[in-house]
Amino acid sequence: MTRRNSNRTRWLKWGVTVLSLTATLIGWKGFAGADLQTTAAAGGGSTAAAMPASAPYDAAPARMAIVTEPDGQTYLVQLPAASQAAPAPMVRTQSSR
Amino acid sequence: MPTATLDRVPAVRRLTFRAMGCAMAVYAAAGDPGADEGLRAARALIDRAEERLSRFRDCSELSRINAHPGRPMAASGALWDVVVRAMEGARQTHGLYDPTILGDLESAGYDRPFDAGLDCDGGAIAQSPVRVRRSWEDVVLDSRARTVTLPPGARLDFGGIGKAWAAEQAAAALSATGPCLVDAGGDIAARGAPAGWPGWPVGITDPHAPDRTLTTLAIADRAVATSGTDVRRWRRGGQMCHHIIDPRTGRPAQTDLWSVTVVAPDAADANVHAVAALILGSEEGLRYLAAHPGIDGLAVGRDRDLRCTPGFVHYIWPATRAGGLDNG
Repeated sequence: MTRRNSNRTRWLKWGVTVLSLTATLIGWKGFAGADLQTTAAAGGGSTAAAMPASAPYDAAPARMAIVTEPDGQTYLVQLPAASQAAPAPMVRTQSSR
Repeated sequence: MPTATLDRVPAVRRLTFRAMGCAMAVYAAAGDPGADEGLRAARALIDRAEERLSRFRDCSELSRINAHPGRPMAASGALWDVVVRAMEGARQTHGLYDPTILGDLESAGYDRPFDAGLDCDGGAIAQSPVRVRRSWEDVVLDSRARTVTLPPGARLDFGGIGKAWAAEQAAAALSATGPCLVDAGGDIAARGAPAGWPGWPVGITDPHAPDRTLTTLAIADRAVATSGTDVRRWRRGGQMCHHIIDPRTGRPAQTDLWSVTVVAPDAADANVHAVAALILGSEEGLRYLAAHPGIDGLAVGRDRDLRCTPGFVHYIWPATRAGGLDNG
């Protein structure tokens, strides 16, 4: 890896760290006021609440991800936390257990 | 045959069971006529796949072929299909996925079902010479006679691709009744989506905290597979081993990644590209995935960094369309 690429990766990592901390703090603030939304979803007949597969899993806070283009260019995007927008997952992918 | 449970939920029917050493789940829309029958048929199909493809069953078709290197061995339609897919995967990944690494896997200690416990008191892994010629290239397939001839010293392992193939087969059969989802131990195939949803909600396990979900994907008419060094780990000769063998060294891969999740049109494709990217590591692995049209992935580093391809973002559950399932 060239020195220029190495420096860019180092700055990207710093960016990831700072943005992840910010996203986590925002996530906590949002979580504090999210009871009504969660209750409404569960009480409104959503089958997500009735899915046996969805119950045991917690959502991680929002994270930043480094996007890699085919030519090697990189930039950052926010990866939404599972609980921010989506229903509880029915299944989860992982290396075979 | 292991026990299975059939759960009734408002909009989706689910059948769970164990097969191929993993937890399996098949889902179908509850309103579709024949859903329950379809779920049971899908389960039977996966059970039959295990009977044919398991390397741990002496009487399996795979074990029979592995026991006779150098001889053309007749293959059933199912096993032939898996062999062809596996060889195609090896070609696509330039041998980073190699179905003939069974000997190396056993040398590393994975010589019995993982649930049975591996021998952690064995000596250090024998030093394997760097291969001059990869043995997957020496496997001879005769499509007219439908025979498989293994080169001396090579044996096949379909541990990963076998589950992915079974998931695809089960999903294809079950889709005749309507939208469906098949989870074969983390290798997932989806057809259609539940009414009112953009896809089936598929979570990605955080390898640093396995009870947590990193993010949720909306998957419709696509497949998802994850390859990782975070599970199926054991100690051998004082060193930690895992089940992802780097065919270039014949030893557990040295990689800076914990896991790679790939979304692809087909579960077998997702599986082989996830393995290849994992072996290549964070920088080269992501460039590799990004260079393959129709293949997208997310990698989790040992340093907790997340890296993904540009197209992967489109599979993340859309924030504006989160909602409940219709109760139809």
